[in-house]
Amino acid sequence: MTVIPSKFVIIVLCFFIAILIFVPFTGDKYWIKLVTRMMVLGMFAMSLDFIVGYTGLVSFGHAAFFGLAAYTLHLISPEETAVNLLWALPVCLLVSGTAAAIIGALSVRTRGIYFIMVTLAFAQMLFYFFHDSDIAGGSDGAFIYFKPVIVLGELTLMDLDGQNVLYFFSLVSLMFAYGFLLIILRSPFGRVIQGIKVNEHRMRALGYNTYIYKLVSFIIAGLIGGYAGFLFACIDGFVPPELLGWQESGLALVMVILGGIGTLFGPALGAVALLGVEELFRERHIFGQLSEHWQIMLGAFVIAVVLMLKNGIGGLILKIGDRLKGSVR
Amino acid sequence: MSDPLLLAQDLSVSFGGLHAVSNLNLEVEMGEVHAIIGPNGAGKTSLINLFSGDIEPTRGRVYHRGEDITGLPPYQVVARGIGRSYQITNIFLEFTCSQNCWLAARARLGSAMRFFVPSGRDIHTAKRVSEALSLAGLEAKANNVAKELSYGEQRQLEIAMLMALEPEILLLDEPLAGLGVDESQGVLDLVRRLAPEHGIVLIEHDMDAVFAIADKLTVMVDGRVLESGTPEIIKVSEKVRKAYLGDD
Repeated sequence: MTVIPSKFVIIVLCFFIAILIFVPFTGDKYWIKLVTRMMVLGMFAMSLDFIVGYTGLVSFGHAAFFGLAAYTLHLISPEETAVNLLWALPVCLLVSGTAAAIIGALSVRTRGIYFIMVTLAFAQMLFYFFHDSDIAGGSDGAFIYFKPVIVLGELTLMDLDGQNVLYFFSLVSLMFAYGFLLIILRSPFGRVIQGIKVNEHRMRALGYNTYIYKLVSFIIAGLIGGYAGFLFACIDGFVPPELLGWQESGLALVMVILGGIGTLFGPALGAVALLGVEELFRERHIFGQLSEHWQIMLGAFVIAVVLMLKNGIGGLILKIGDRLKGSVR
Repeated sequence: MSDPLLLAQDLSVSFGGLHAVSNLNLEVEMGEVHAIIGPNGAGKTSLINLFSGDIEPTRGRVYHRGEDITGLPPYQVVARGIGRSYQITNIFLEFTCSQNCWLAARARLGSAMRFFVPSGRDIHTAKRVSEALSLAGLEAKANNVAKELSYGEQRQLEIAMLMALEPEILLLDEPLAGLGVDESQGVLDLVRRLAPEHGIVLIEHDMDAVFAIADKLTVMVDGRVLESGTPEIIKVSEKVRKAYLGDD
């Protein structure tokens, strides 16, 4: 149960943040958008790691909360004007949080493979609900014509329509999510859920009603996942039902595994790695004909990382940190 | 007369066709070490599981201070002050000794639904953790990870966690199993020291230890009570001699 990041991890993260701050100054719109997507999906993966890596609940339906927040933003955004983020974000979080409470209340009773299946089933129900109904464009997806703004009185403080504004807002949100989850993990609640992951039976025997702790951690993950979904909808202003689908949930799980389960910062790096490597393999100048089959290379990359690193990228960073600490002594 | 601390009434549990415990009546008083002995498979651990809420009886009731606690889930049984240790070491292997005890100590404080205060800020719990560790003789290992401890030390940690829970009833399932002579003596001394202010149910195979420490003995065979009474009565009981202690 080591929650507070070591000095080495903090240095590595500061290094990444420095690079992230630098990106918008290149002025390259394509890159800015790509990195925004990395950060938002990183936040999504981080929220999933909170339940997978700390509470021990492997959810295969985490996209439900991601997509639901995105759809909520579409539904509350008027067609001819921008919605105010100050109430739109809380509404989106409320919807994701409520969905997490309902889905969690029913699925947290189950364990292991059953939990995976139940969460998957709920997410797929939501997917087909939006896919097959006319509520929000059905299978064609829905548009958000005006991105959210922060307006106080007459004053527009922030407009997410600006690419750099959205970029920095996503960066701050990612850092906020990391700090928020870290604080929770070192609180009494955080210790209890980590105890549940290691030995739930013993936690019950010690006097903890483990059900309620698992449920609350599921809701917290759903809220942060919803926050990420809200931001994701702002990137393209487009919300396809696929955001709720099992592929999206699976992608988040791959990011968590790639980044290191139970490291919290790792899955964010996993998102960066996954999207970055995809971008690299699709580069025609480097891979020529092979770039058309980038999925094969991406698959090989994921397999290689999982086989070679014990606990993903995050695990590698922690290990290097431990080595350095050892050599200093 | 006031209600007994812990009372089992006509308690039975069966798994399929196996009657692990049948029609068992048992009373544990405050300040008493009540040892349960009997051959393997006699239903001793099942009895502890019934008391702790780990399993539900097929028939019969369990009362704590006169209140019916039959069928309560384990976490509610613990909240009433009934704590147990496990025969098979059941600890958090990845955590340090203090963290193990912290989880136990925090449990008795009620809800741990506090999200934004660092756990270390809770001085009360920290104090209980260090007290529990020193009671079990593990203070030197406070920051060692549980899986790196010796088997005996893991057993001590199990005791320390029980101490951190501060229960009024201790259900000890073979606390001495796997301990060396010195460690065993340490645990026995601890039990003796705790006895006046606790009700203790002790399952143990070490007969010397049992007779040295128990105020009352219940001999179980095939899920039934064969004989119950003071060590003196059990020692001279013909039934017990035949069924369990051997003929010599």
